[in-house]
Amino acid sequence: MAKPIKETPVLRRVDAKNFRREMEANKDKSISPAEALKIRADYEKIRAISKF
Amino acid sequence: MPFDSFELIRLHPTHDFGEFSCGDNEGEKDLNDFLLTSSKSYQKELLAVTYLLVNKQETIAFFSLANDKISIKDHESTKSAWRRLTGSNIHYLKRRESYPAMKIGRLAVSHKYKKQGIGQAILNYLKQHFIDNNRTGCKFITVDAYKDSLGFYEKNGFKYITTSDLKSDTRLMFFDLTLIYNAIQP
Repeated sequence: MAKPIKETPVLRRVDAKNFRREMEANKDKSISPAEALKIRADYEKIRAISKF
Repeated sequence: MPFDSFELIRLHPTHDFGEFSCGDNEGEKDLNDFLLTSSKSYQKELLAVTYLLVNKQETIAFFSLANDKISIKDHESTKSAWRRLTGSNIHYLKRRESYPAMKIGRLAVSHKYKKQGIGQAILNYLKQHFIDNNRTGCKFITVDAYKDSLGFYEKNGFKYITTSDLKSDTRLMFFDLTLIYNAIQP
């Protein structure tokens, strides 16, 4: 039997602190234009073959 | 990798997987096992939906998705609970204790198709999909990643959620969709 998909725990103490810090830092960050183009291109490629 | 001859389909209860193997190490065996023996049960129980990248009868890759959330219990959330009770008018974003997310429960590429960018293309598809078709709100993509694939997810911008699973077979990671949202704003 395969391992069950792990549930995401409630974050406390240092995990909570790190997560809030990361989220705060990301507020004004973005991926590069080249990365954004690559993500968009891959999305369109797979969307085009999606059958649902 | 050309995708023209592939199709992305949602797993059907009667789907015949045929043969699928993403490899032979412990994690890979478990991924094979998940697809062949557990994916339909997760779907039947409405816990996760599996999608297959197929070429005719051959399974190229699969991924299983579930709703998720990242919840926080810390000093900030205690303060915000107090403010809510006392009716303080603090900005709603400041007092959140949980954030909506989508979890990639499992993702694997057949060993015959590895090193061709398929896994990354799937991740990118999901990232953009949850920006463009974000119907209910989704701020993070989380993943329950096998140890062998941690580098892959790190390379794709995922961070670790907790240090409590350092010794576990899988580790929980997250990607903040804000990074893409900010990049595409005019």
